[in-house]
Amino acid sequence: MNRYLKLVHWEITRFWKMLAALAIVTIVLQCAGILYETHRYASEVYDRVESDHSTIAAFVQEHGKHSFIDGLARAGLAVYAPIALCIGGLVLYVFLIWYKEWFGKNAFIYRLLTLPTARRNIYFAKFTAILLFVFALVGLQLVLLPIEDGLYMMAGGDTLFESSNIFDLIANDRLLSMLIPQTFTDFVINYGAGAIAVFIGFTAVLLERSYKLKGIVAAILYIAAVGVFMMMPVLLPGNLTVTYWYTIEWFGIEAALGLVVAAVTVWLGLHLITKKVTV
Amino acid sequence: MNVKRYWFSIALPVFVAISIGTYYVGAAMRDLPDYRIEKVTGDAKEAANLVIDGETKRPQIRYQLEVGADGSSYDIKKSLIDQMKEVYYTESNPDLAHLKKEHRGFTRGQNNYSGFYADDIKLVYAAANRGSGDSSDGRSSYSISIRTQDLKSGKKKDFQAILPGKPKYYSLYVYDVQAKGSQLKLMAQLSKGSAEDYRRGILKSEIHLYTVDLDKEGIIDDQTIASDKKLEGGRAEHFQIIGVNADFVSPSDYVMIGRSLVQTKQLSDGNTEEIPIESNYLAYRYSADTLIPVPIKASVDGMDYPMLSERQVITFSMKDNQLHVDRYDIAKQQQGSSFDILLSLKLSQLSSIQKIVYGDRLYVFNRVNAEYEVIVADTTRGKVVYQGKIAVDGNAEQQAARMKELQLYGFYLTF
Repeated sequence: MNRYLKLVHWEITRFWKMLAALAIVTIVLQCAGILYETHRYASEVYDRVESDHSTIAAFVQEHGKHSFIDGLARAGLAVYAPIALCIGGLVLYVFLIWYKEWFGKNAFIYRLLTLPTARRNIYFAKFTAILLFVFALVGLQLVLLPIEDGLYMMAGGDTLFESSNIFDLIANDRLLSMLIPQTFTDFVINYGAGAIAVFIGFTAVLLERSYKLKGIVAAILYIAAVGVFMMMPVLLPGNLTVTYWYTIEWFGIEAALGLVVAAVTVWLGLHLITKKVTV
Repeated sequence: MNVKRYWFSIALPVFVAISIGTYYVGAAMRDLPDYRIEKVTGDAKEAANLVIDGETKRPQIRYQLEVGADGSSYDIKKSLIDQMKEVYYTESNPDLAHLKKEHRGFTRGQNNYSGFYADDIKLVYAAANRGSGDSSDGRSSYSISIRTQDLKSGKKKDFQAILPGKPKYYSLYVYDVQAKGSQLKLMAQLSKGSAEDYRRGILKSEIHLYTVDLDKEGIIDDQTIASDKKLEGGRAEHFQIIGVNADFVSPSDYVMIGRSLVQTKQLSDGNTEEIPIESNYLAYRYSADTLIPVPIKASVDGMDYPMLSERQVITFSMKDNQLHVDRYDIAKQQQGSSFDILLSLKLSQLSSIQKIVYGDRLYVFNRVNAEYEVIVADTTRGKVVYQGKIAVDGNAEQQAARMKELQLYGFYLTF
């Protein structure tokens, strides 16, 4: 356990600068975007009020206050681009977390594989690190949203702008509600599926590292096989998803298939790292 | 352990647990307005199975919710799994919900909800199947899937009943199923006509009664109960089976049929327009094999359907601010006594009053602007047994604001 935790610590240490960079980019871009759009909206309203010889109070009476939900939607790219960057970065890192051991400045894999610890600890430490990074960025977004809401109100004032509840905000935003589902059960389901995808990514890398070119073919075939296996309920003759199973049963079957895929993938990954990967 | 060395690795999971944990604890504990059906007079048990669905409209966001006597249930607080457990229609009809809960295997994959029948002896399901690969002109040969289960022995039967003469139709739909001994009676509506009729949208509709012999596993009789007719002077007569009672799975001796008389008008583009002239109703009685005229008032467009409660046809009209309920006894072919339900909401209109008849109970949901009322009446005694309103928690100011945010659409009965 101690060795596993030390390996997790080691993985965190090696990625923390990148994680910090992603966090900073998210904070800066989102806050700047919100501030920019707040000022832009305010000046649009002031210009309109001036040209109409009206008042802000009359404008608010007619159009209502500009909520943070609206502000976030207006900021658009400034909010979603860093999220996409974080997702892209972490997806890439699922592969890099392995390849850097071979192709880094000093090929670290020699030392890693000769450590006096079970190789499964290396595998699970890398997996734990990836999950931690994902959850850290999700947590950052959760902390950031109320801060951005405060910033929005501070920059715009409460005459024209109004604060939004974080739950309303997330429920109203398609991307955010996908990253932060409405209930904890949904969170476990979504990120459980994501975790299985990470295991599959790991196995694909280890196949390639074990068998080189043949391994790439094997990895592609494995991913295709997983896809077919997961779609089995739909592919079975008789259109059973409509004619036989209740939705909840279909979901249960998919969850069970997902667990089978996870178990086989982890077993294969551990088998490869313990028996096949050589340096 | 050197904590200073590991501080970031310790802080990271702590940050994750606190940020994500706090959010989900907050989401679960979130105090959304709790709307409920509150009793004004009568027995609260009468409204225990009533559910009203709608939404709360806050600025920029709408939350779907269901309001019952015990309070509100918000979709946003339900997980994907919870939502999958609720199959809307089957759960919202008491007969189907009961059938689904008690006989999950039997209802599995059966989507023609009007094709279910249940009594103390057996369960039946019937649904029309369109044949594949033979619809070059839009017509197909149909068969009817029959599924039965003996409740005592548990014996099941599953077969395809071929229509006598293998006719081809444009559509066929089973609207009602009744069972007696080893025979089933299936009331079905079909559409037929030429390819030209199909192109012009003037297909002829027919109501058929199929008799299925469960021992022979086939249709032994096909009887035409009513069929669309072209009349003199460009008039036409149409027939339609009406499903209006919530307890349609239970045995019933009657099926309501709507008859409408229309004036047909040829349009310049070759299509035909139909202008409604009058509507009236008929009841088919299975035990007597007769079609009985039901002399009740019907709106010309035939949209305000009467409701069937065992052998009574119930119709509604407005009298001042009262819902006037008329009852017609089909078996005796005579008008029964009528009764009035005093509505507490002023300016009530029949078009915004929703009604459900289930057993001997009439459930009424009335909406006037942002105000709502719920009434339950005993149709045999002609008496209101429950009157309720929608209430919400909070102080007077909060209640007013919350009621303003609420928009209810419709109601249903759960099991």
